[in-house]
Amino acid sequence: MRNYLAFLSLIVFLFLSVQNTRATEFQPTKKQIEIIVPYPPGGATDRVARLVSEIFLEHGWKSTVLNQPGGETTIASNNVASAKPDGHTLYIGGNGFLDANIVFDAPGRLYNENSFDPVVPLGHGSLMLAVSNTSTVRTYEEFKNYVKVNPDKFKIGFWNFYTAHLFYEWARLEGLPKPTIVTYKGSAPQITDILGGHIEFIFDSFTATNKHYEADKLRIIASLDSKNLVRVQNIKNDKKIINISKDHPTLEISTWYGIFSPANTSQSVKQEIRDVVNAGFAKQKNIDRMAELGIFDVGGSAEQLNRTQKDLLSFFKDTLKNMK
Amino acid sequence: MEILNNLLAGFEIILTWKYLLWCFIGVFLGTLIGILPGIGSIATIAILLPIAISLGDPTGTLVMMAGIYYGAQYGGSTTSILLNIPGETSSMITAIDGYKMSQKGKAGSALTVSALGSFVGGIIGTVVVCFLATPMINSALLFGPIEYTSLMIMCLLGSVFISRNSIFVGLGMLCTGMLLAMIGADVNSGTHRLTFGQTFLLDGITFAIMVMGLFGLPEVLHVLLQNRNSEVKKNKKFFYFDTKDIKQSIAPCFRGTIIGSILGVIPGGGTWISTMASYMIEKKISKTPEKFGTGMVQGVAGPESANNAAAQTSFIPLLTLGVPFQPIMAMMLSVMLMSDITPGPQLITDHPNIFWALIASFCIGNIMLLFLNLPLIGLWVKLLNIPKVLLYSAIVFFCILGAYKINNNWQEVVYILLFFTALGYFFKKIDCDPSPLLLGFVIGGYLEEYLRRSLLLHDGNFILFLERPISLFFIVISAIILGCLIWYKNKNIFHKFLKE
Amino acid sequence: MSKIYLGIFFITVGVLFFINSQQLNFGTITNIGPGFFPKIISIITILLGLIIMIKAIKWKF
Repeated sequence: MRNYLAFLSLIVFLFLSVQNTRATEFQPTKKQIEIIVPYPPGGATDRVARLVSEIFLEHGWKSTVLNQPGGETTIASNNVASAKPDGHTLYIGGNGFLDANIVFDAPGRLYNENSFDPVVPLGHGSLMLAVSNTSTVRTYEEFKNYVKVNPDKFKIGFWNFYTAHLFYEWARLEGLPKPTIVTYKGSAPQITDILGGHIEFIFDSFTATNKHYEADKLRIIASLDSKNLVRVQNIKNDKKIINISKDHPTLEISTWYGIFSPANTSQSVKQEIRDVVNAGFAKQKNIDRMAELGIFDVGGSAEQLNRTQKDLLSFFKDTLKNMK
Repeated sequence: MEILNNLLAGFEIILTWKYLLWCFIGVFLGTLIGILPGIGSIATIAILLPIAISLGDPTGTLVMMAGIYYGAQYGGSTTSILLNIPGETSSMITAIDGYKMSQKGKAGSALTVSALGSFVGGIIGTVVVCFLATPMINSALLFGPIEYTSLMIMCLLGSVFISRNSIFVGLGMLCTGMLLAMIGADVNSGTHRLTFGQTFLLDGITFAIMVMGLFGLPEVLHVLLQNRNSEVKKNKKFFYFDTKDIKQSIAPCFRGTIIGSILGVIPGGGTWISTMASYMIEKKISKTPEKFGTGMVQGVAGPESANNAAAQTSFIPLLTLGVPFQPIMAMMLSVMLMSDITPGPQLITDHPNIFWALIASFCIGNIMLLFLNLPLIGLWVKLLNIPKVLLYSAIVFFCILGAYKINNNWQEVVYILLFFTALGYFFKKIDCDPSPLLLGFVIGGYLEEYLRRSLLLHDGNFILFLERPISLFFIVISAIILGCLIWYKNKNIFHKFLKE
Repeated sequence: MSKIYLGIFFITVGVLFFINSQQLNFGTITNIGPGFFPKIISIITILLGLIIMIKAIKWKF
């Protein structure tokens, strides 16, 4: 019996020693800012978060990154939405959590469009349409003809089930048959499959695909938006790579990132954070780091972030309507 | 040869005080967290990441993080052998025969075999990375969803052999594991399955927490509730080794290394599956398979070599393709990107320093680990003298902390860990071996994902499974295994019939 | 006796998962739905649980 009590009290003591109490003011030099990432460590969003954390650290603030993966970002989003709006909990959000998840009704969601305040945008990356080397398709035109003739071969790999609805809209606008979306758990498995020739077409980020394209292990035939078009064309001086959204402006959708805070965070706190982040990303080394990730135009105002996110929300709402 | 020149250049970089220190810190930390159950290498790397990057030396950071990763494979077996509590998920298998060896007073021998096996696995694994990286990754790319499906079918059938239970119980555990794997968001359709309305189950059950609950904590409960002293016989003189054990370990060690080297490269492979596969094969090959589970040294040597070899070769996809096949490799990837090194097919040509220095550091790291682990065996065995309450409270604390740190989610800890601890204790009480449940979880999960993807990509064409050569190979072996299983079952019925 | 507990355990698990997978659809061969595997495996689990229980009860008598 004595064993039990000693054991229990030790556990309780050890437990309590790792709790920390929360204050209600914004004191980033004394108490750390937790940057929440809804994906496991190692992904693009995670890397962006760590860069932001570094910027905070360089400014003399305490900061750490917390990965809370799960439920297609729902778990992390729920946690941030219910956190205290004192500026000590920040969220690196991107495509999906405030648009696709809401419109396509991802279950388990305890938040809505108004649960978050935009703080500062963290840039855009591009989605590329890549084709495996074993395919006969070499250009976007050939691609369109190919899938019209062989609708059963119109299978596209992607890593997010809800956001993938944008490809249904793309197919509809281009007059293509309805694609079959093959979902993967992240970018790595689908890159492996396309390199091995097991899947013919995928959509993936510029970062994930450009080095393989350079090494001739796969072909990039189109970019969804205009932002990285010139860069990808210059890799092999191939002007036949086109910008899909040129003819369909509503498809000018990139993978965007931004810092959000729980709703009702005070303006001054948000402004302070925004200033530090913008100053950090004005430095060339940080711009270069983001460029390596294929993310450009980092920094800006809360209104920009708000508009990006709201635009995507209405895009998905339209997509849902058109699907019916 | 060019490769040897490059390797020498790599050694030149590493053999400086600065990098030797980075390497040592990495492997030392790795051994430490390997020994501590609960805290895993990925949580540690995530915590250390910002500090390491701010020091601005990408080579050093990578060397250190790699050291933490493969160092943990050495340390994990220590608690497995001494306390029957796995320090790392991959040391779960070592506990089966390793702990029994300790109970017979051969703890020192088990630890020695484990350290030596890990060393051989680590060094040979490094050699594989060095010379065979490109051909291996090209072979790995030949594996598409169809090949994986067949491979998983084969593994599923083979895993019936691993359990000490009867066939029906083993199958039942396998199926339960498969059902548990289906909890969470469905990959192909996004619908939430079997989550019983709970948010924390949205992403499925975290594997490491399940292992802790089924294997680690019940052992703690068992020891404390029985009020028994530690079951490990304390020998006055600790044999560091027993030559007979070492002789018997040589072959399993090399077999384990081959298995680990291969399985480390495939996606979803890695250290855990390598140890499982090695144990299964040692049991099958052995002349006395029924003795497995009573302290066979082959059950320690094979898996330990396998997990270290796998730890080394799991770097191959990252270094040759720039694609991370495991969460830990994704962390390494982010370190590289943060330091302006873009991993990909041209890493070897663009940044040869990093590549070859890393490989050289694997060699040095493994040598350091051998010296860290072997002489300290006496010290580790002294762990058993720590008062139970202190030792086990610390273990429970680290398990709970580790479980939280994986996803920073308290609900997971409270519900999932507690549930599986209760379940694991129940299994322990009725003397049922839960390993098939874990196998069913891992393999079943993959099987479903790959089968559905295969049929989706090829419009339901089942014939392809027999047409494609790699897949055909696995299907044939599956058929052979199935045949053996049926024959064994019928053999018993045949004998019973004869007796009556 | 322990086998009987195991049998009960498997049957419980099978039934629980089967009930909870009712609303998931089976799908077709080309597009296997989320309900296919859970339903089939849970039925197999229930059967295995029954076999184990019956064997254990037979053993006792």
